Amino acid sequence: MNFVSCKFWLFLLTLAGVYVLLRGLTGWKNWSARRDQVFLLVGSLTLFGAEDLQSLVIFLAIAVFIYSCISIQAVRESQSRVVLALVVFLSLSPLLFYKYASSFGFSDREGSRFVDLAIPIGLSFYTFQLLSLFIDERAVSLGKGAHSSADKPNQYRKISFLNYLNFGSFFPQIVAGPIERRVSLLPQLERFRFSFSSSNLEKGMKNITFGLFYKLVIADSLASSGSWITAEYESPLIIHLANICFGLRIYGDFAGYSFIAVGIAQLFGVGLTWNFQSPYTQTTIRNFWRSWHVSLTQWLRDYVYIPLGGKKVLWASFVTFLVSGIWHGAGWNFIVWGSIHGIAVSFERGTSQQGQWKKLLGWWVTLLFVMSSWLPFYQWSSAVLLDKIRSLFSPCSYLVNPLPELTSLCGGYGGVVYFAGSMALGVSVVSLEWYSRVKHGDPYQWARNIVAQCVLIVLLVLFAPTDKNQFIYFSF
Amino acid sequence: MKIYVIAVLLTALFSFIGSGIYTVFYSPEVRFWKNAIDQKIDYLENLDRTEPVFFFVGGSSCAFSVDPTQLSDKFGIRAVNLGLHAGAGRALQLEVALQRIKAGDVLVIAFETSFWYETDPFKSSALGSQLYFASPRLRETVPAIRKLGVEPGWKPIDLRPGGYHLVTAGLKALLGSPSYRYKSTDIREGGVILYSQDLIQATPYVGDAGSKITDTARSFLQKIVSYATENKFEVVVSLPWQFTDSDCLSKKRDANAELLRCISEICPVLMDPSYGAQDEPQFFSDTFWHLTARGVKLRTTRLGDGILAWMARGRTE
Repeated sequence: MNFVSCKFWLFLLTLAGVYVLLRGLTGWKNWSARRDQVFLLVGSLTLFGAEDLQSLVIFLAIAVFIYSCISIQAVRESQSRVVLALVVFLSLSPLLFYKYASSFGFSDREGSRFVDLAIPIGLSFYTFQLLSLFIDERAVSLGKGAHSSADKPNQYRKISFLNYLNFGSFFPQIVAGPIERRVSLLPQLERFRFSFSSSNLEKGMKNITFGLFYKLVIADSLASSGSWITAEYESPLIIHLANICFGLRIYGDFAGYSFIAVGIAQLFGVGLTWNFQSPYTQTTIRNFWRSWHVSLTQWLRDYVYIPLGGKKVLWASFVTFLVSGIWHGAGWNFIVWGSIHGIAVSFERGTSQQGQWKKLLGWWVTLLFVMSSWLPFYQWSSAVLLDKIRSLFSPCSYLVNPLPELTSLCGGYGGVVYFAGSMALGVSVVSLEWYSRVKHGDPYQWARNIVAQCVLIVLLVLFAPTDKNQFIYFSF
Repeated sequence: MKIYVIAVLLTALFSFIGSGIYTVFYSPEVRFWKNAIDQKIDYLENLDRTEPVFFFVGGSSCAFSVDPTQLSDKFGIRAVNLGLHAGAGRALQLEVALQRIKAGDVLVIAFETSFWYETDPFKSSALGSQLYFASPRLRETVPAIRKLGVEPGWKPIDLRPGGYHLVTAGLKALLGSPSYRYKSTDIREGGVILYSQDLIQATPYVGDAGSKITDTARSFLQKIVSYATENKFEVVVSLPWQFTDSDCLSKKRDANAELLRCISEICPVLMDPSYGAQDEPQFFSDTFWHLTARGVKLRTTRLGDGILAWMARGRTE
């Protein structure tokens, strides 16, 4: 479900038209809440299926499997760990297959049935969401309480299949999150009604505008002007620029998606988790992770870090970040990326940040570390990655003028200016977030007033590149 | 709430209208290529259509290489060069020809070699939409390309300049440089374009030689051949010339020869001794696809020879 495609919005409008027609034909007032919930499910599945039918079939198979496990679990008294491990493994097996089969040679052989192993849409995100539901149900039935601190056992009662499917397939978030928990999303969907609210419309539109700006103006401009970042080049200064370019791009891309998802859900009166809290204005790496892809970080904390022993075990952070790296893909580059974050977070423990200067220093150190660490994330070729790391640690190479190489990579001076302009725009937005956080306590306050929103729209229409770029996280 | 919604919607509406007007009427790139389309169509409409006409279609490698007046004067072949900017997309490049081709004519497909290797060779392009909406003569009929099962994807929402265009246009205005590299006087009779600025020497191509022709390209070729048979015109394929590094020349020629062999299983190809790869810098101007006047002369001569040889073989191979 690509929120920046016209097809998605036309489909959504068509569904709205069908709803009004159906409700009008059957009597406006006789329309029950259950019918609204059924229509929401049909709408979500139709939107999902229209994007990719195979993905819909896989979603339904996983959803039915996990619901069966939850139902069986509810009537059985003993809950062995072996059964838990088996259910977790079986639920994750499609994800493991699609992500890692190519590493074991399935995708390389010509004529193989598995040549095209594009990951089904949203597979990671709904699998994690439904799996958390199963694990929490199990924990509650064993009297241990659920994993989320907001969960209370008395809120747990049997979930109907309709509400369960709506929970798993809610269209604004099925493709790339946020990964919601039972207590945050399910009650809202159980009492879901289609209704018009001017306040929801305004809130939703603001977030959608904001998200479109982040995605189409910041992320796509950087994707278009910095399309060369994975190429081979020698200047370490260009490598640093490429790291910042990718860091700003992936933030704009995923934050943009998340704002639009929250905005669309708000139009329907449903509140989703804020997946980003201005991560590039954080002063520690731990806080960076608390504000970057919040719902995934929380999921990893509750289902990987805490079961490993949490704070009591020294290597729990490292393993959690390693798992996060492996989840992103089968390449060594992701293992390196996860490991260095794991080491950094473990190392950071015990350091204090009292005083303004330490905070400012912390912000710069965090930014430098996070931006530099994007290199193994985007550079999939191990040989090129090693060459670039070698360049970064070779002091003499810093003395070479990078401009001729940058001009050639950008395709001329026009390309260099476009690249510089896109970078400046990204940096300006992060600076505005910083200013807004300091002044208003909300990093995104700067874009919430009517004038700022109109300026964003003008920039969106004029500056969004005319070539299209898919959301980066769709491939995870 | 009402003020917010109205303000946002009006801003979006006026921004789209403003950017649409700029793109269609003032964008230097769109203006140049719209002008090229008009001149090519004018030339075609003034040709005597009682004799068959060769329609050359392709990207700028076609526009900057085939001289119809030379073909006519030297070989007696009536032709029109309908080559357009590669960024306009293959759908638009074909559309101009498909709208005007008649029984007995010959469609010469001279797309860049990448066309045959791409999985989505007809993906929509913003410049394609912009040229389609800027050229009223293209909109006189429903898109002919749909008859080949190709959805062109020309949308009014693409009538926006985009960041790259705005930044480079602003920079050119600041530096006092010309707003576009090519001038309308570069478009010559018959549709060939000759770059007239100070010569910028292109860098030779050193990338991959090519791989296997894709199923999409093969299927397209089968469809257009069958459409041509139904409408009684003929289709042949020619490879454009690409400035290639001497070290990769023989590899590139081998790959192109193999590509032509695959294509010839479906439709005739025009043979050319250079197999679409040249390493002579004097034949190329500002890019490795654009020819100098000297290059155009030689390429057109080779094409004329190829066409005559194909006709002599009974137009079957």
